[in-house]
Amino acid sequence: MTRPSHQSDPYIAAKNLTIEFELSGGRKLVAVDDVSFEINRGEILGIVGESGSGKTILAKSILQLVPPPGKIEQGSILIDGVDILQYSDEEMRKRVRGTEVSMIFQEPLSALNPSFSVGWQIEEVFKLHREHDRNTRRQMAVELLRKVSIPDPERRIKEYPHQFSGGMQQRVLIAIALACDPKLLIADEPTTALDVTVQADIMDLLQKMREETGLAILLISHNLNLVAERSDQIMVLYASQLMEMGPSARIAEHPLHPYTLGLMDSVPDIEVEDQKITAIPGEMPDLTLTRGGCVFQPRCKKAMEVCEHVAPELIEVEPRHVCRCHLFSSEYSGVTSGGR
Amino acid sequence: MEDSVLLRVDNLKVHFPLRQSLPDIIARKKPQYVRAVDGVSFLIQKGKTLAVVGESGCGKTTLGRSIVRLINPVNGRIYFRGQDISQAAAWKDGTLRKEIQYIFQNPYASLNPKATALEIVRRPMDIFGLHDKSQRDRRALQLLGMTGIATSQSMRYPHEFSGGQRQRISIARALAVEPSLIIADEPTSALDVSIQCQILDLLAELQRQLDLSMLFISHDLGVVEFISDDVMVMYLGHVVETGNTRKIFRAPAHPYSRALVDALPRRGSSRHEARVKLKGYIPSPINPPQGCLLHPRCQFAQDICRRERPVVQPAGDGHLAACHFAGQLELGLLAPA
Repeated sequence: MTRPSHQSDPYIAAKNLTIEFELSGGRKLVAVDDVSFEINRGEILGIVGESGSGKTILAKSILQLVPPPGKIEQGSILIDGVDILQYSDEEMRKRVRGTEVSMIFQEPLSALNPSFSVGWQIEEVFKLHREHDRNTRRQMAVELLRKVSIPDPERRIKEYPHQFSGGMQQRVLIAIALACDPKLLIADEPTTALDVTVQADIMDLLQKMREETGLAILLISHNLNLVAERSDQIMVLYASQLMEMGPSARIAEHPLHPYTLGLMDSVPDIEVEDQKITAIPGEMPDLTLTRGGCVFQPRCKKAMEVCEHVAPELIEVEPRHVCRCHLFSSEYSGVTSGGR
Repeated sequence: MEDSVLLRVDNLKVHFPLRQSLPDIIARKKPQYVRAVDGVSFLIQKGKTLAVVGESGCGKTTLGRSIVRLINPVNGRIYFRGQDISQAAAWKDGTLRKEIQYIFQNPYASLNPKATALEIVRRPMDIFGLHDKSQRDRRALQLLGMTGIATSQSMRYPHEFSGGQRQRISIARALAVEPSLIIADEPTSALDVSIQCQILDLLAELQRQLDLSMLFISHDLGVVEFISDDVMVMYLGHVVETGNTRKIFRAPAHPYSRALVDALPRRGSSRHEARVKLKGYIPSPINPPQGCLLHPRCQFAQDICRRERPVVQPAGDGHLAACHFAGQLELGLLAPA
């Protein structure tokens, strides 16, 4: 698979993003803990994590759609050098949402309005963002449906969401998201509700869009295989923290973090002869409790004494490949080889 | 040979009638049917797991449910230990309900929210009068322990457990009556991957210990390969290919199975570009296509495929496929990993 060459300055750069939810009784839940990432034009960044790891909240923060009582406590998100976190809601609507960044969701049927035709819902975007007359809008909507490979778009544009299959509904959502030529598409579990054959078609479509228009994609999924196959970079989130990030091919072949390793061992893969899957014991920790050491330590097979007390920092193990684990710090890794 | 067969299903058909409008009734139009399951036959050997895979709408859930009469089969025969259980009379005394247990996809919807974990697992024993009354609580705790729920948690209610733990309770409940066959309908698809793996491990381990047979319904080929001995691929209510799971996934003989395998995302670099893709979308099960069910979507379709419906026939290497060209198509093998 050909990857576009990396430009030096990224399209979007998030730095030290921290999102907290204030709960009753003054407790706090850190949903995203100091996460930084960059996406170049035409690049796909995949975010993998289990439910509750903070991947959706992270994505929504780019559009400033973090639901209350969640608040972006810290950090910046730069698009072409401008921090969009400083934008007001009005500015977000005019300058970012739809035209720079747009988003598609997991359940296509619940993201579409059941009482309006598909055409109406696509044209609504043009009404808000572009000045065209009715006929042009209709024509553009038909063209969009054609672009996302919906057969017979002139007829289907008059139909309602329930008349479309799940895969077709997701195509309509992609059409709506791409209506105003955004530079970044956030795809939040875009194929989780779909069958594998349809999933492959939808992912092919997204990749085609990326190749044709240089669209950058933030692909969120719990399916490690899907993310590894389709994205250029992978970010692994666990309990609100970035555990590992690097080039997909590198991580797929040679994962560093014990959590990434554990995830890989727990996904059955039909290509492996006589496969053995190994579960990661235990469950995700309660995010409202503050902890001293590594968040993954209670479930980690390679945990050392230091992991219980000292939270590991992100370490650049090889170029563009970072990992949050004491095993790779020069300070502590000697401890394991010493046998203690 | 016959003794080792636990469940035998012969030509099972489940057709749901569509509601007719008044004008249609007056015009005496023929009623239409959704052919959810249309002539499915298979065997499950003692202690073995048969998986049913297919995309949504292929009839796999209807198949599972009709075996335990959650849906009444329209036609066909089902034999359990040689006894015909397709008639209502066979279910009257309840012993069959004890022999065949069901695990549902959504563990929250299938547990009583007003009962504690202990009560949920104890209830089937109460109903069937198993063990001494005084022994049942202890037995329930033991079952919960086997599935990984600590005694200290047994007085909790379903909403206090995580999804994975709820599924563990469902499994404990299914085991409470010591069944010989378990039908599991997508038991892990609502769970996170690391939890899914724990549940699969648990099922595989319990199956070994208790010599259970299982009908495992899933759309996830990776899960199916891990848990099952044999697999049955369904499309539009029909079986298109069946046989040893590993063999079928390595070298599918039917273009539909090939397309399913090819559509799986792979993390290695082995993804081959010459993927077999299906054209268009799944047709309506009300008016299935003439001839081979797959022909409108199959890239290999010939004249004969449009005219004649293929029967299930040997396709080499011990498996069966419903394709006129089974075993002859150059479907290509997986690129080496």
